[in-house]
Amino acid sequence: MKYCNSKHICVTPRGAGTGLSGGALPVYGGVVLGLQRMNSIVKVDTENFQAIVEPGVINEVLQQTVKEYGLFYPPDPASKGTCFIGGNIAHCSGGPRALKYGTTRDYVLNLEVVLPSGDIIWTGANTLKYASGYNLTHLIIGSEGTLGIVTKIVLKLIPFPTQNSLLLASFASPIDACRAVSSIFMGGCSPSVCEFIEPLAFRLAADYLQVAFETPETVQAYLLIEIDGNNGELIAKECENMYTILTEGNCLEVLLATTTSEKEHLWKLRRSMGEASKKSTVYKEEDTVVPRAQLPELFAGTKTIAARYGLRTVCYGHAGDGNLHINILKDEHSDAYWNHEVKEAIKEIFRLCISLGGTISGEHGIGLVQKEYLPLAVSEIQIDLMRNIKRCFDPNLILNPGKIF
Amino acid sequence: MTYKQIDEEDIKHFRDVLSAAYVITGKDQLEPFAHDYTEDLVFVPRSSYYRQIQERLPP
Ligand SMILES: Cc1cc2nc3c(=O)[nH]c(=O)nc-3n(C[C@H](O)[C@H](O)[C@H](O)COP(=O)(O)OP(=O)(O)OC[C@H]3O[C@@H](n4cnc5c(N)ncnc54)[C@H](O)[C@@H]3O)c2cc1C
Repeated sequence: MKYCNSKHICVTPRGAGTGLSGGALPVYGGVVLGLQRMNSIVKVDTENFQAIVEPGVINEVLQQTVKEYGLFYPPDPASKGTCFIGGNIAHCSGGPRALKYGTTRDYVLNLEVVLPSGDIIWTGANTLKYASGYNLTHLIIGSEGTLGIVTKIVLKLIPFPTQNSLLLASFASPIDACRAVSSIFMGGCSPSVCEFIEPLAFRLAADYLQVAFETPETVQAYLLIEIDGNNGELIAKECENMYTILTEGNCLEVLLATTTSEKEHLWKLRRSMGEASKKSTVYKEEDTVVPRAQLPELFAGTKTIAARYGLRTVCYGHAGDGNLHINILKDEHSDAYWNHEVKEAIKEIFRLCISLGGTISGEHGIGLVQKEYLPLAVSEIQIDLMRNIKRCFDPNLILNPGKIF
Repeated sequence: MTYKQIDEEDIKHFRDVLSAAYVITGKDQLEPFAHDYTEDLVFVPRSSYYRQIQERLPP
């Protein structure tokens, strides 16, 4: 970094390249700094419930390793089999279980960071509490590789929940499904996962994986709900409570995945939806997020906007967090239409999202592809503050240029 | 913003510091680094180097 800084050569850090906002793309050429060989789990500290890892560790590898010690690293992006912890930190990634357990931010205690100057710092302390000046750890989390390169990470772990139940609830109306999300919480349930899924997303994933999955015509939306914990009886009770709430919320049917293979089947389908959409046609994925109770308005409004532009969308996502992934499908539209009109549709969807108290990205970041929309969500003053922070860390602007703003 | 283009001297410097095995410059080898999972965007870097592991402690 010292050399590149002195020569004014730009550097783009890269994890596994699963990012969905173009953050790891070297838009100005220069050096791509691949972190994949820094893939060591340095230590699992079973006394302090911490892990020290390098940034190239694959999320799922870390989860499996700490599970052997009875410990749990909850952040679980759907890309967990491929994406790296370093990339997760750069995007403050979430995933289905963020609903109960929080996002990457909630598990990072301390970071070793190489600054654009080449200086190496630790951002905080390996402690559960930190009130010693500005929290640089949290500034680096979500900074999308623009402030420094994360080279070592101290993570918080928690005890592994030993049991879980997985439910699939079907609805004739997607709006009822969206409404049920808030009812679940208002009814006193605290699921670890609550995913909204349109039938088309299931069908695309089933085609992509070449497995069977029936979506009856009457069904217009699903909720995939997981309840976890250590006490089977309590989980069963919560499932019963959930069943009542869902039925009162016009649910057609609630299926319980009874075997591990049924659960894995559903999860595999859920995790393949992004790739399956991409394989089916050119698409754009928007990562909208609103307060949970505003989900029905976001969903209905999105469909209205898309219909006005003649666009097909397939929606799924972390409904419990109010985080709806809207995949806009190109289908037979011309490139010209796609390149111009879709941007207008996206702007309308984002404006709706913001008017509902939400924002334009819940977990995928701004990167390259969303930066033109950032001014819709944040003020000029906020962007100026961000620019000044960037200049503080990277006065020569050599690190991951062309991203965020 | 304009940046200095990487030249042979820079590549030699990277290879001296990191060893040749960790510095990639060939067009075909750079191709995987030119895109990610985002839509169909492609940007080819001039050079890519793997961060070498400085220290490895046993788990
Ligand atoms: C099928 C699929 C499903 C997904 N599901 C989810 C999901 O459920 N939740 C979610 O949040 N995301 C999801 N994502 C998005 C993506 O997987 C995450 O953003 C992930 O954290 C990116 O990690 P990566 O290692 O691939 O990073 P990359 O794509 O390589 O890089 C992402 C950003 O991080 C920077 N970066 C990488 N490593 C470092 C480092 N060590 N130091 C500094 N900067 C660095 C890069 O410069 C870039 O800006 C999904 C993606 C796919 C393809």
